[in-house]
Amino acid sequence: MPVGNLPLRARQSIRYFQRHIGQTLLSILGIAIGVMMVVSVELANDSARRAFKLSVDSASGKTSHQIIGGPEGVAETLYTRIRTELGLRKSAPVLNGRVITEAGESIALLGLDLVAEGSLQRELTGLEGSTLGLAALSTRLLHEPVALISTKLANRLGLSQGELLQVTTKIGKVNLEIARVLPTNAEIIMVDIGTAQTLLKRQGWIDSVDMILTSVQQERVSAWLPANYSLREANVGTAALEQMTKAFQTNLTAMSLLALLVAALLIYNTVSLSVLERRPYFGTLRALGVTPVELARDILIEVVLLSFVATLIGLTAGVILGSWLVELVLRTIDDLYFRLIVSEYVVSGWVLWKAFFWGLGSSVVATLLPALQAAKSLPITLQHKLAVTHSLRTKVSGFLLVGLLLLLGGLFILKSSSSWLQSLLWGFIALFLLIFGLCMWVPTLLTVVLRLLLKISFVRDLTFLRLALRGIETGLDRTALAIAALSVSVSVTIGVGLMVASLRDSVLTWLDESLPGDIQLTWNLDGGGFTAEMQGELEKQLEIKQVIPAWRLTVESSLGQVYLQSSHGEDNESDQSYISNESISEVVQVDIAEASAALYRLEQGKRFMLYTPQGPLQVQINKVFKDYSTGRAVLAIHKNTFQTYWPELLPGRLTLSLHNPNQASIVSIVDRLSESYKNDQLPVEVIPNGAIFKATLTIFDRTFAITTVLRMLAIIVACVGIFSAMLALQIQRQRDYAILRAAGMTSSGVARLLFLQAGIMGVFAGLIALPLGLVMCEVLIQVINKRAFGWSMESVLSGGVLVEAVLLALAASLLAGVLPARKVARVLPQVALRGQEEW
Amino acid sequence: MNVSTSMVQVSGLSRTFKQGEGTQKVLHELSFSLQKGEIVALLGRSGSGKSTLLNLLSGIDLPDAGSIEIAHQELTALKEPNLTLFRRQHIGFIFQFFNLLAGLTVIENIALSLELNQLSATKALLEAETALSTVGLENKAHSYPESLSGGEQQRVAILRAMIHKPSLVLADEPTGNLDASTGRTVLQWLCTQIRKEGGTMLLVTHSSEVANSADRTLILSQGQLQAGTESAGW
Repeated sequence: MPVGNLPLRARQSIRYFQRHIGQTLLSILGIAIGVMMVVSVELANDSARRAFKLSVDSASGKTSHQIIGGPEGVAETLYTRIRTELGLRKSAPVLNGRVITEAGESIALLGLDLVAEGSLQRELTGLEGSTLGLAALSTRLLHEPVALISTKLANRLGLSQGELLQVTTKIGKVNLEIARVLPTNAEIIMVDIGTAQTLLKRQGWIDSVDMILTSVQQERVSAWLPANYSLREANVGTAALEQMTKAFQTNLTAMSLLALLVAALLIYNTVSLSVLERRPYFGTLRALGVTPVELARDILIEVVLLSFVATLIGLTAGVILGSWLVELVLRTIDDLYFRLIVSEYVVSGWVLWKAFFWGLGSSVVATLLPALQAAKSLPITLQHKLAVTHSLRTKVSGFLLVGLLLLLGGLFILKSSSSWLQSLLWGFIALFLLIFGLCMWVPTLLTVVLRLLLKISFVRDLTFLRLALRGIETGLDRTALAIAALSVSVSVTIGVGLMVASLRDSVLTWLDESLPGDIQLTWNLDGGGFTAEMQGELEKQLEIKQVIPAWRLTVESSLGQVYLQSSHGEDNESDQSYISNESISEVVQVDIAEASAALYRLEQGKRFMLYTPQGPLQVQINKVFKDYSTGRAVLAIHKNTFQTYWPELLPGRLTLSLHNPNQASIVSIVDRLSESYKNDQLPVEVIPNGAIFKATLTIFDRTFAITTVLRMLAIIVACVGIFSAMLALQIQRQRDYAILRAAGMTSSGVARLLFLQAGIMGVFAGLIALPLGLVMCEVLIQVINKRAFGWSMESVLSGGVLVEAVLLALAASLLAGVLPARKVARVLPQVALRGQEEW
Repeated sequence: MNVSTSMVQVSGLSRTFKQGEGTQKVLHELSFSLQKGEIVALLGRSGSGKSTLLNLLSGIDLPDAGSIEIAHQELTALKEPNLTLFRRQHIGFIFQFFNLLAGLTVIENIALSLELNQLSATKALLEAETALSTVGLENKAHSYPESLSGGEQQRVAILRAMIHKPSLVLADEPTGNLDASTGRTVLQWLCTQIRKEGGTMLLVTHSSEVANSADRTLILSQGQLQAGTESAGW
């Protein structure tokens, strides 16, 4: 790099980094990875947030309130009256349903008022604006079976504008012409509300009226509203969903911050290493007249410039990684909660600035200590390269105490019953305090263990091992830090790995319990279901031992839409006590899914209203059951209750148990039934339980793929940390190695010594990571996941994960030890002894 | 003694180092003075405190007790950064192991002292180039120190210590790392330069031959000057 007219000290710095290009690139890599992780996760989260908001907006507009009715929904005339009698133009009708494509896929159909003047929904679906030729489209939307679909759906179905999409609806097979392909990712078919009413056989009815109301208008509407209708806030469900989505994102952010923390430790290690290496140089500069402030400023400028370059690289890499992560995040939210209407990767300037200052700031903070240490040292002290301060060794007890305080603080937050400490954020703060606290104990633990080892006669007799252990102890300043950094990274692997393993195990158990029988038959259209004749025909088939019907229904409630399913208890006598009479009104007992209870903050004994064809029904939560489905309120109610309040409702699912449930018979029955229902044009999906298991686990693994990516990145950062610590050891102990060489140890011998030290550090980091990872896993399972998703699960202690973690730490440190070991082997003893080794 | 011509005035100077559990008194209530334009050799056995005395005089180490006055400035009264600023202007230090900065070329090493004294890099390099030509090393101007011989390196180190015309030059065994012949040449040249500039130098050495080139000699033994040495040569 040309140095031109740069000041001489700057030239010296540049040449130092040029000569140590490998080390410099590693420092840049460490910072860049840290920044990349933060920026990619932030951008992915930010895009997902926007997508979520747009989805909610496009589904219900920027709706503040909704009018809902009984089981049939809202009479269309009510919507007309709202616009004419009340003059509320900011209102829009909504009708939802499902249709089946030729391939047998069930897709949501959304009926919207796309042509009414001042339509709330037009802008949000991208129809506002002349480019789409709305005027020309209006007449066709109203009078012809035309639909709008997203580019994504069009591509998937292989359709383009003007082509026909054949769907099975309540009125039979219909060909919808694709009038427009919208630039969104909605997995949805949009039609005019009138068309939707026809296709779904809901003439005269809509699901709800979405409105934007002021508080005055709200009172006016409430007073005006006819009986059987109610006005509710529109965001009851979405707020809860948003909260859950945020919880998932907070998990990711916490992981990226943890990586940045590891990166900051690495930066500290790197900078202190570069300071350590240049002590004689700094000493000479100080002797020549460079003031402490000038020296500290020089070091800080170096780091700012290095981290500036690293941060820019990190930002660029983060933007690229983010575009990939956003797919993972969106897919997860999509899989877990709902189909996102809009997904667009947005690179927010604010996120970039934030990450930029994070990267730069953490580098500067990490540099302050070594820079000040170098600046405040006397020039004479600096000139002695080997006269390194053993500051950490003298402060071990202080670290122990601070660590203890942090641990106590973390435990206090976790155990506290105070409501404001029960939030997810405080859960994470507690987790971070525990991690930091345990990290603070690393120097003490390391010192104690090393000293104990050195007392063992077997170790004392092995000169090579003794030298390696003493070397680690002497370089405690750097080795303890590197071990702590690697331990944190590996513990993330253990903690998150065990948590994911536990969750996977719980989901499998749950699937096993909630999916009785061998084959599931699902009725794929809203309304309708399996008639008694259909069930009878199935029962007649020889291979089928039992047919179990299950009811399900999405109904309006005071909580918003809830999903009701018949409880698994079947004819259990105790379940008959579901219905009880109270003096005020009838109260029906329901069970609620664990995640739903967390989502809506409901607990045993809480009451709310369900709107049934028999009128409003008060229900009370009887118990909370385990369920890993998310994003909607799932309630279980006894089948008798279904028959009492929804007498017309047919079972929406049938479970078939076979006499001989082997793979061949299952496949044969599934094929036969699928063909039969297809020929009869019935919207029935026949799926073997195995396929549901497989699909669920695929979604599960996809959900947690992002955590694997982040975990691996954290390991890379830590690996770089160990590398710089090993380099520091090599520099710090250079004279000792030179003496060993002079005394007759071969160059490969000293290389092996350093390599052995790397291995010992790796094993130590792995062993420290075990309790750290187990603590992290327990906090994630018992606190974080409960607070975030409402999921409870049994901890699974997987020996494999633990052994893997120790091996990972060992492999990372051995890998990081290769180059320093080679470097130490190349040092000429006569040069090192003279104190004139390379600078 | 004429106070106005005194360049260095040391009185009651003490320095103790921690050594294991105990302490070692390296300098004990040392007092002496150096006159302006004087070259003084400091002799003594290993561990007698010669280098420590030089470090204290340059302000790169701090005394436990006593006072050091250089060019009428009480050094012990100065705190950072003034102590360093005083050193960069008034003191030139020649190290036994040269301590040239490996990342700077020969000419840049010399120019550094000027740049620290607020001269622009361009001007400093020009001046350094002129200085280099006086010692016949102009062809090595853009080489890095590692490619120079010991004698050449020490000449560069001497130029660096003297280019900003310091009031006091402190030389810590400047020929200790050179062979006898090169050492003699370098020392002769150093003394000539000091006398030419009218500078003052305190020269640490083991060699009585080197000491003979000085105006007078101080002998340090067990942290104290041997009786009678202070006025030797006067």
